[in-house]
Amino acid sequence: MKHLDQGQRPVGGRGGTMRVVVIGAGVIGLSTALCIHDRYQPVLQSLDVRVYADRFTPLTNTDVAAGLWQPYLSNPSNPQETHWNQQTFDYLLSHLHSPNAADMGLALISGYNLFHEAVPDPSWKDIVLGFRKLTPRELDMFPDYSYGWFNTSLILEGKRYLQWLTERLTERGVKFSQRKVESLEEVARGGADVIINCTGVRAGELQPDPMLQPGRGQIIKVDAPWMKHFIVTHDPERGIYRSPYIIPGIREVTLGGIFQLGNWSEVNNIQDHKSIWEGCCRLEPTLKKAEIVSECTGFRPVRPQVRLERERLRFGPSNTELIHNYGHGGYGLTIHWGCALEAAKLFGEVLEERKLLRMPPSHL
Amino acid sequence: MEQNGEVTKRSRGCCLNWPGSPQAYAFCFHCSPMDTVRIAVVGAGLMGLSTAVCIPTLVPRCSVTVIADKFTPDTTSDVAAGILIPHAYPGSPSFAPGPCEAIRGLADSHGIIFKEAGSSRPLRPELTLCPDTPVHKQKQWFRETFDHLFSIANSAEAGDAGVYLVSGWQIFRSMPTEEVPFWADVVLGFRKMTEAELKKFPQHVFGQAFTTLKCEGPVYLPWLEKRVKRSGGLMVPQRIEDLWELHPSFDIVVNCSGLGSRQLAGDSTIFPVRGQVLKVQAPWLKHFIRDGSGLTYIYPGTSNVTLGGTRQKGDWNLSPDAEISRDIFSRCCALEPSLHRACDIREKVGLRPSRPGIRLQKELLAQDSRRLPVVHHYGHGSGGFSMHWGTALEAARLVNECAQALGSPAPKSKL
Repeated sequence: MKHLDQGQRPVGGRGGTMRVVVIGAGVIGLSTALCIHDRYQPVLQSLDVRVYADRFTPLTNTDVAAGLWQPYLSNPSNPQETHWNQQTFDYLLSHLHSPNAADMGLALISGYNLFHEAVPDPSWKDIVLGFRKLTPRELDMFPDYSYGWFNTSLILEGKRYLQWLTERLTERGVKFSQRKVESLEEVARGGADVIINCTGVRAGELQPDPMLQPGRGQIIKVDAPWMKHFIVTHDPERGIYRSPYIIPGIREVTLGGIFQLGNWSEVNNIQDHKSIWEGCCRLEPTLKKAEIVSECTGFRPVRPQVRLERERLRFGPSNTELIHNYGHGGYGLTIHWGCALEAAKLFGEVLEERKLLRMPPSHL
Repeated sequence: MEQNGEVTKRSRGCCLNWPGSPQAYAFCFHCSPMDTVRIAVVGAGLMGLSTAVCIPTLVPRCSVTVIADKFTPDTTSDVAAGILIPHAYPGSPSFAPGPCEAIRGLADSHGIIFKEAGSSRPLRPELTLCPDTPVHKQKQWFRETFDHLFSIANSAEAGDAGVYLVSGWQIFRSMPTEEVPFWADVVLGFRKMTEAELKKFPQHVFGQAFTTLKCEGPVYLPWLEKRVKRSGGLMVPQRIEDLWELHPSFDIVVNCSGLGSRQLAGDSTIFPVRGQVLKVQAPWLKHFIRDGSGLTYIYPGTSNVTLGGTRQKGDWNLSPDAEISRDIFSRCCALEPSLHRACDIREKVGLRPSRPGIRLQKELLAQDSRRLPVVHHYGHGSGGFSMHWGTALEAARLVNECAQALGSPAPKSKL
């Protein structure tokens, strides 16, 4: 392999510059932009990455998420997702030891998963730290539940993480543009060589996807600084996220337990509020004294599996490469880095096909 | 016991805080003037206040007055982080009562007082012959304290009381002699740390993970004060120089004066172990980390994180030392690098009331014809929060024994 000297870079895209547009500024969009930039900027003559979005933090769905690293209990239909979850956990864990952890919105957190009956251990039991079953005295704290787990996981607070990602991207010269993208064609004709589609729950507006649906969630944020553990309950009859959960963040505690498939209402619903409040106070009576700070609604981009694949667009004479990275359901923060790495790998394939690389990119 | 028929005598205390109707005192069974035992608790730190809460639950018809020169937030208990991880007192390995109890029992029942040759001050054999707190007692008191606080932590009172659960790790640079300490089955979910967990602490070779309780002095003490007042107790800010000042206004004195016992009880075995801590803002920290030596620790609280610490024997200096603060911060950052982002750093100093063992003991002070029963309840060193409820219950039992003795026409001890 020819070793590249300083200044001797292979040819880029049109006119020497590879133009990448990332659509979407939630955790998927921003982390993919960062991953691609850091991996390929050193080996391209010129890389221009832009982020287009109509909503930026604090108005994205990522901002609403509590941020607990925890995949679904059942195995994903795509086994790659397990690998992407693991990669994300390992990546975040490696950042824990730096002074930057708090800036990223990252912290270790331990807590309880509660069930009405014994269940098999989850596939991620060896990814998290110190996984074990709950002891009888611990279960006594939760009279409605008879079985459970204790483990140490991570919190990655959406809002703080997006701010951190934005800062890192800005440092690297990545441009942000607030705009509502009406079509992929518009972006392609605008000069993009590669489009990364991180439009989350509204991806269907750019390209119909019957498998994608909103999983509406509502959460209440409270001031309860004595809460040091997460408490997530499960009710198989009601389904995931439909049972109360309490997740402390850096400063506030998120209370939730709402999951409504197909509901696009952005307005906070009073019935949902009652359901969350009563469910969480029943689970943790100390919350009765907690002050409510805010309440919001978000939409999990629910899909049977993540759409992470390439597509080639042809508008007129030009080819534009499209990489889809959306449909992460309620586990976007949990899986984001593994998906960003995969998207970057797909991007690398594009570069290779176009003979834009003289040597393989360094592995992260 | 001095009697008068007036129920409204203010020193009784019981009816002062009785809510509601002016006739309430007529229904107050505490205030039958014949039978009310007037109890003074000296000291308003953790021991004084918890004992003051326990006493009315065990002693029928009493009034409780807490007298101290310092109240929260100015007590030693306000500085402590309040985490329930027992401090190892030197304890006798045997479970049988030691020789000291036998000597004490003998001395009490025969009214024998030992005197040092050439001195008029009584020598206290129990102080010099019986220094240690047996492990079975430590475990009992820790369990009682843990269970009591655990039920508060799971109730709606938790926030008002400042009591909550916290998980974390105790880590060791070399294998400890005891991998499983005596209190392992009292805390929740005790287990050894996994290899993956230990990776977070490259300088340490072994660790224990568990869930315990944190009891925050500046919140818990005011909550205890409220409970004392609710059951009719009084708080009196006053410095006591001699326990005899409390005679004859009070029938029984409970001495919870910590280091003040050097003067008030003539106890030269109690000495300060100075502890300096930092209180910082680092709300992302959710776990405690304690180095097995006990010298370096990180305890996340409700409104700040306590970083510690020091153990300086015999040091009475209450002013923070900047060099020590830098050292504490550096040691804690080595365990938890994210602390470099901590802000609003405040320094605090507390003097642990240290003794070879906790003093929980009755003493009948005698001077001429005067008698004053005293229950001593002090000397918990680093283990105040861990043991307080268990020892307060024991102190209240001793107070009740004194109260019973007052009531019954027992023969007076001869000098």
